[in-house]
Amino acid sequence: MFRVQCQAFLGLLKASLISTCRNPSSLVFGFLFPLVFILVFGVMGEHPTKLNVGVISPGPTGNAVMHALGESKAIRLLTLLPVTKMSAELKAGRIAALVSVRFSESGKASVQLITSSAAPEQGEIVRQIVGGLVTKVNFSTAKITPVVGFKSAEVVGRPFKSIDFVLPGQLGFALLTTAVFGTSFLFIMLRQTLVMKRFFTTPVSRFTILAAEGGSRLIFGIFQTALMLFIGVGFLGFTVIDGGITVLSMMVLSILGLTVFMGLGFIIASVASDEKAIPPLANLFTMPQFLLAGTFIPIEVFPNWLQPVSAALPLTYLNDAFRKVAFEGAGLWQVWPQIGILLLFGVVFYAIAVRVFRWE
Amino acid sequence: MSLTSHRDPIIRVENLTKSYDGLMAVNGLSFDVFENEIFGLLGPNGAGKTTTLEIMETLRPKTGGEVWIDGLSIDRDAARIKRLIGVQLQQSGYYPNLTLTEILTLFADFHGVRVSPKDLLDQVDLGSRARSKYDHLSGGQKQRFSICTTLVHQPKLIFLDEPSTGLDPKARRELWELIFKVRDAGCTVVITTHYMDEAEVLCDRVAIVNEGRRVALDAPSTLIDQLVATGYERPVQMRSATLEDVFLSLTGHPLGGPDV
Repeated sequence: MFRVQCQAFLGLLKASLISTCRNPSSLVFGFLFPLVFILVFGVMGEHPTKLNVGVISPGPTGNAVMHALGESKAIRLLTLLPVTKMSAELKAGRIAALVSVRFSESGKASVQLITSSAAPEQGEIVRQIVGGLVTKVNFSTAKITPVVGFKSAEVVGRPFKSIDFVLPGQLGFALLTTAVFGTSFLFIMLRQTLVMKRFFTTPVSRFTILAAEGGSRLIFGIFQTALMLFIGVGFLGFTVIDGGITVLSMMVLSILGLTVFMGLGFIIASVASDEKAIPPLANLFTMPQFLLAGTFIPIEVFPNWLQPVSAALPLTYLNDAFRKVAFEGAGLWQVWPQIGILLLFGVVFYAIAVRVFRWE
Repeated sequence: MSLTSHRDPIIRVENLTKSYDGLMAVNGLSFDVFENEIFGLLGPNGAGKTTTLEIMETLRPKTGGEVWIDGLSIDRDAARIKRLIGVQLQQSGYYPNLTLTEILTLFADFHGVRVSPKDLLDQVDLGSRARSKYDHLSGGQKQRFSICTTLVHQPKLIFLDEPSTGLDPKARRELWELIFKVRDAGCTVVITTHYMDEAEVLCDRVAIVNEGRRVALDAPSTLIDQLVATGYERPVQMRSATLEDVFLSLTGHPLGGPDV
């Protein structure tokens, strides 16, 4: 009997994989969409945001203030635009400030800065930078030793590229979709077209059916992870700190995430009366995670009242674990809080699924 | 068609009952099915045919009575019974996106056997459709394929639930020929149908069921003779051919196999 179930398991596993690979929507949602998102968002945010400062009048060539501004990593100087155009951009908040440096005939310099209420924070930053520069130039020209000394140091770190944020989020979300939509659509379909009933006229056991279908989705998900990592690391400069170990850890996390989310798929398959009821139900679970689980947008930017919502979404913890493992080089044991919470979600999902699951 | 009472019963149904919320769908049904016969379960819609079939197929629990398949009790030996029987369900679909070959291989795996899908498909005249999807088959091809899936593990007994519903007369004849072929290969066939002409041609014996009770059980010709003996006469004189004969002669299917 065990031998029969093993053959049945392998047979259904293979059939399920073939069927999934021939299903256009599982390929589009499983591979194409996540890859497009990675490409678009990974490439789009590649340049760190500098503050635009329009130069109305640069003063004499090589003056200390303009030179220091040009050196600043936080500022991009715009010199070629006409003044009217720059004023309009400033009012619209697309330029943080306008600067002009003038020298009187006596050789006294004055720096004028105009900021905009359209972008008050940016204006404030530019004001601080320029103010600091002017003070520095004043002190050194007057040969005054400052009363308060100031030193800052930079530690050597890894540049956090936008792909390092985008890829883990997309990966997490792609796995969520595969698990939730794939599982729920399949089981409803098998139930409605009596495929499941036909299966039950053969010796195959229910456990074998669940194991094979679950296994097939895990394999599919592992391929999703592998492909996204391959493209991310190979072409988009995605950071995997410890190479093979990191990739392996991400695989383990993928399997964990898929397994947990499949529980959600089983619940939806049981609650939904037919195929048409799946998209609204499934989106009810997946859309909030798309927006609020740190998939596209870092959770930190949300207002305080939204934070608890993010904290209640399972994908939050998978995304978080992915990022910690990939970028910070954390081992699986270091992301145990995330893993623990995911497992807790899994226990809840499967406890519900076991109660509501319908075979026929 | 010979009387088969001397053969061993492969199915014994004794006083079978099934109630749904107090409603008796099957009410004290008893009959035997003998080895290697084609046995028809006839009756109007809602008579309890499908319920009876599904109880025998171990898909549905019974309320009362006893059912043995090849000497095995459906209560205690469901797992072993599943290895002996092949089941075609009314209107069941197949696993999505697979070819006929892949579906047959899957069913063979479920039974723990290895098969040659090509040979099986040849048996039901679908050898040329091996790489087709089930959804792309015609109605008659679908039913022949459904029967094919029941044969992967060489069952002793197959159940066919209204296999000819919705088929054109030509496809129906092809289906009959296939059923005869399966029986001639040594398999017992239990079939339900709404078509009495079909039952008359196909079945060695039939049980007629009405409102969950058996109202007749015998060979079709015997039942007809019994009715004629009561002085019954068909109200309308038949012409020597029917519209079905016209259809068949025009669509070019020879009436081989069954002697109609």
